[in-house]
Amino acid sequence: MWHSFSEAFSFPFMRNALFASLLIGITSSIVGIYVVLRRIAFLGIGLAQVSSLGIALATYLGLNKDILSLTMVFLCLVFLIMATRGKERVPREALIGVIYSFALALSLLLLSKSAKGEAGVMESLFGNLLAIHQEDVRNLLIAFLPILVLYLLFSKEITATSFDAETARAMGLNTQLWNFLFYLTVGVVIAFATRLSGVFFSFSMLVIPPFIALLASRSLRMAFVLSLLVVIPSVVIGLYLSYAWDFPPSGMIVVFLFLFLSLTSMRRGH
Amino acid sequence: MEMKRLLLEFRDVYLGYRGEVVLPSVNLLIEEGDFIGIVGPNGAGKTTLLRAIAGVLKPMKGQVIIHKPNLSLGYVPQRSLLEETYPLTAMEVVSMGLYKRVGVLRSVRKFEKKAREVLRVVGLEEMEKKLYRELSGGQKQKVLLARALVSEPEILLLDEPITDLDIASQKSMLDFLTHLNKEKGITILLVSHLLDVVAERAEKIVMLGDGKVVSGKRDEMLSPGMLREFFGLPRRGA
Repeated sequence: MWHSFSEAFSFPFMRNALFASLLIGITSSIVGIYVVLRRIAFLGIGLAQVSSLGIALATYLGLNKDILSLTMVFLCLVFLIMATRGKERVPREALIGVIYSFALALSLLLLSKSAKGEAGVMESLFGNLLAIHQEDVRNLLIAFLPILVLYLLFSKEITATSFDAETARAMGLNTQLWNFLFYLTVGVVIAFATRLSGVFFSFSMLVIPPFIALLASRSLRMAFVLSLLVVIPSVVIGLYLSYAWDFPPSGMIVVFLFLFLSLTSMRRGH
Repeated sequence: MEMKRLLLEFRDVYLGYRGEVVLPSVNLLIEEGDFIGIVGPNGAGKTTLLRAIAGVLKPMKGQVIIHKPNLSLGYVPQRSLLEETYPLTAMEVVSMGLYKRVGVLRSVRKFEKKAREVLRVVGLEEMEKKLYRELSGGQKQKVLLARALVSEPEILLLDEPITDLDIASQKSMLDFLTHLNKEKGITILLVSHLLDVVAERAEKIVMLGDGKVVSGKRDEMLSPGMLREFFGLPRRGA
């Protein structure tokens, strides 16, 4: 088995998929802990679909995919924040649902007219980790490394703002800045992850590892460590088995996340 | 008669959200050592006023004048509004009150002694490692109070701190607030819809209702006329 394990990762496309999946998994799960705690997981799939629409639109118009998807994610975030300030007439989740459906519908229309057709629709949803280039990995590292450093250095400010923004602000913290940085990082993570790995994988990585980690942890610090302990083996084993058994890698990795989730739930007696 | 030092003043302040006025023309004086009860029916704007005093809500019009430089505030929000899924210990929640003082890029760990001391003061020294979400309602309220106290505030703002506590916990909380006010000289502003409970402790009362805000000494404010105007009924035993 070890022979074929090293053989699997001797291919550049497998190594690129490994590094990119690890970067997406680690960064998404760190940011995702706050996404889950703030009860805005649905925002993750809504933004991922908007990002996917940006990619489809960029393909159609021949523009830069990263820039357009990032721009659309930020515009969507600004719209959501503006539209849900003060008292909500309808729950924000419903508005995110509408945005998700609309973005999906537009993506379908655009992709149906593209050269890839149905294959393009599948790729936008499920991505293709094996098509990631070394340059993509480098860009991912440039985008995600500052986010990891930010969460490492300013975890106490991000936590206080996330737990109780009102009091944090009353006590002198610049909660507007920390909230802005939080949503900015959510946008960057989703836009880059969706472009390289599809809506399904980026949303799964944002929600499932944090969910498992929070289920099994009695401290935030432990939740961060556990989410990494869930992501790293799931990515490595999932990728290897997808190679060995000829399955789509993103599906195999997420199946492994569910395996961790089942083990955690059994341990907790749920 | 000794003059109290003026800490904070509201001059013809209009408060509201998204262009809609909730409280028009608020005039209010907060003096050092005051124990002020902010009362009124549900939806009268009590929390809106407290948020404005805390500096969280900016006035639409008018002036908020801070008469004492570097005035420090401690804020205790409504407990029910806080998310309970966070895996944070009582100690971690209390330490949040020190984040401003600690500053960015510095660990709060060397200030833990201070947080521990405040937990002892509120009677929760045994609970520092317990998760906030696993504490009882009264204990959670004390943790939030400790978080506000750890920053050594001159004014303590509390939003419904005794609502949904049992009678014994209500009394213990109010006794502690009275102690902070009388012995430590902390100015207290307490929001509650429980008029009777607040009236026993507060020396000044701010009454809110139908967009009106009236403040004065307790006895003036508890006159049958005022109670009828703001609550529609005379106070029990009044």
